[in-house]
Amino acid sequence: MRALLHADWLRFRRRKDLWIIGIGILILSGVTFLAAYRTDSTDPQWPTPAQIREEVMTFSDFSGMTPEEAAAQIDLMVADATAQYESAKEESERQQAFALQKYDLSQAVFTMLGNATAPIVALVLISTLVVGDEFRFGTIRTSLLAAGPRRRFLAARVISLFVMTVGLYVAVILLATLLALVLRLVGAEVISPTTPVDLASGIAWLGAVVLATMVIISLGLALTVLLRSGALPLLIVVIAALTELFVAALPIFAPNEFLSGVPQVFLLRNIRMLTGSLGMDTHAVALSETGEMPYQAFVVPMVGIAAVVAAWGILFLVIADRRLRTMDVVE
Amino acid sequence: MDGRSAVIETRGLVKRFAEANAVDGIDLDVPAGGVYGFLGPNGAGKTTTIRILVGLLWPTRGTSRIFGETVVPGAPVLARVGSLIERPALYPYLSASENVRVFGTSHGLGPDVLLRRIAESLDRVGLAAVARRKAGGFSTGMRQRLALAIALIGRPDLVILDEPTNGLDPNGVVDVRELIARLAADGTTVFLSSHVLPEVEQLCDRVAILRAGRIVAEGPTNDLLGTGERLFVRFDTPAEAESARAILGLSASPIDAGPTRPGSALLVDTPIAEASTLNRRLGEAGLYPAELTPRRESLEAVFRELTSDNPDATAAAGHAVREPGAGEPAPSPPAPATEADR
Repeated sequence: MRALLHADWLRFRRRKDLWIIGIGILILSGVTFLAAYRTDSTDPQWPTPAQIREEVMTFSDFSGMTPEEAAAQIDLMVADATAQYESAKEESERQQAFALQKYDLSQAVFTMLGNATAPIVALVLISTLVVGDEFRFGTIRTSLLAAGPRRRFLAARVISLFVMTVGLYVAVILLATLLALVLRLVGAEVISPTTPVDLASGIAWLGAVVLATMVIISLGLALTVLLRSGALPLLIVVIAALTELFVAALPIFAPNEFLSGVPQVFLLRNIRMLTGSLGMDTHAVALSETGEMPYQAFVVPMVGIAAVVAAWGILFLVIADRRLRTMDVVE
Repeated sequence: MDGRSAVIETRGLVKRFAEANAVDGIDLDVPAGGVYGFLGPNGAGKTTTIRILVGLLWPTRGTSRIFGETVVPGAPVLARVGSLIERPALYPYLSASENVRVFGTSHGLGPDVLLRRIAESLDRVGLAAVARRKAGGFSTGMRQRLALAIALIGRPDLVILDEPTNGLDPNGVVDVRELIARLAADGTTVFLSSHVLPEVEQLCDRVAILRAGRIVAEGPTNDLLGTGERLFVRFDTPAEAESARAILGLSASPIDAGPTRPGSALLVDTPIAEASTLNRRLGEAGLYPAELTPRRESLEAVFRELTSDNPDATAAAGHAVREPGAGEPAPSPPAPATEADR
């Protein structure tokens, strides 16, 4: 197995497309992170007292009033508007302060990864490329012969892709940490979170992201082996995601309790819950308004969802394994 | 089999695709050492058989064994087999040496051994000078050479080659033939499928000929060609030739011995060793041939006869035809046919 993994490394490191995808994801993540910071850190323009007075005079009707009455009314309305703006400003500053916690060193990783959609898509693309090209170039023949039992070929690919997945997420984490440090160094306005991140919850979330990615990769692998193509599986994954949304909303699942539970086992729904909810829960730390609510890890309820997601992954790998072991290689 | 143990052994091998049997009950016994030729027209089932032998296809029925171990996809014994099947399978984004290295690494070769073997194998196939060039830019011939280097990197005990000289220039063809001969001389068994019949005739100790998924002839190359031996018997006059035909009991008319000697020769299907007997019979009848020379058949002629669509041609050929499931080939008695009969 080590020999196969080494051979995979020799091949993958020479593939420009894989490097381009990986670096592209890092650039996309970095740019998105900085753009979001810029939006969150930009103060809204608040009107000056003179502008408030002018606004009041422009949009109000003082006909029928004496000049003294009108002046008094204007003063009253200006005071009222000023108070409203002050209140809005306070709320805005409060929200901004919470938002700027996301760019603190302790939160930057979760902010940059978000629900990990872009890395997942990139890694599925990579998985379909590296296996699909074996069929395209005909190297599946020599690769299978070199691997011995066909299951070893699949196992080596899964392990290689897992290493790539972890590698990409580690790179994203390092980038997020680096950018958070840069923001701190350049004196950018970043607010320290009122409640520290729960480390176990953060690790659980990262684990959930890696699990979800591996499951989607397994889907890509299974489709690639079934279709002997690298391009079609990616299209099918996208279509499947849209189809699942459509199917889950069908009225056939509404009538009774049993049917309404069916969508609960849908793959992408569970992945969204797993990565999205855990991510939001982790963010809840940063966004906790008072700090009185200590961060509660939502790990236990998520174990069930993670199990459903993992079951899908195992199913995909079993399909890929069975197909690979029984297939006639005619490439 | 010459008493040698079988490296490849198949029994009743069948592979069915859709509605047809691509391989239809093949029994093979490839002895250890030497070069074994595997011939047949396009679609005869050669590549399908080879793919089964290297574990890329599952047989529909029958068994195949290599070095005594049953071959199924992923069988451990396949680690002792190097193969080149149809078009070369290469990673275009890797250089020649990297391609060899990837497959050498997969075979579990250590870094030091690997480096030495990569240099050796690329040198052996004439690609040492372009070792650092990307395989994607290689010509067909270079790709074929590189695939050959990959097939040999693990120093296999059995090498299965499917059209190894495809796309090679004349020098390349000679190089590969020499390489095959060297492999055989070193004790490696080479199973060679080729359309280049002079190549097979030159290299192979033993040959099997396939037609429509079945083996129609199998045996030592010399025997296969020997059963097609003929004697060319020329007389001074057409009348002598006609008399000789009657004496020898040939059904076909005399043939021309050249533009100036119409109808004055006979082609007699008989082993060369029978030449003196034939000469004596003619002499006893007062007929003295002006020329009596052996006309040994080429493998090409044998191949054409055995794989012709005309069943009579095969039947009349009288070669060592072995039905699937039969034991060693039993040559049929040579039929007294002349060129005109064919």
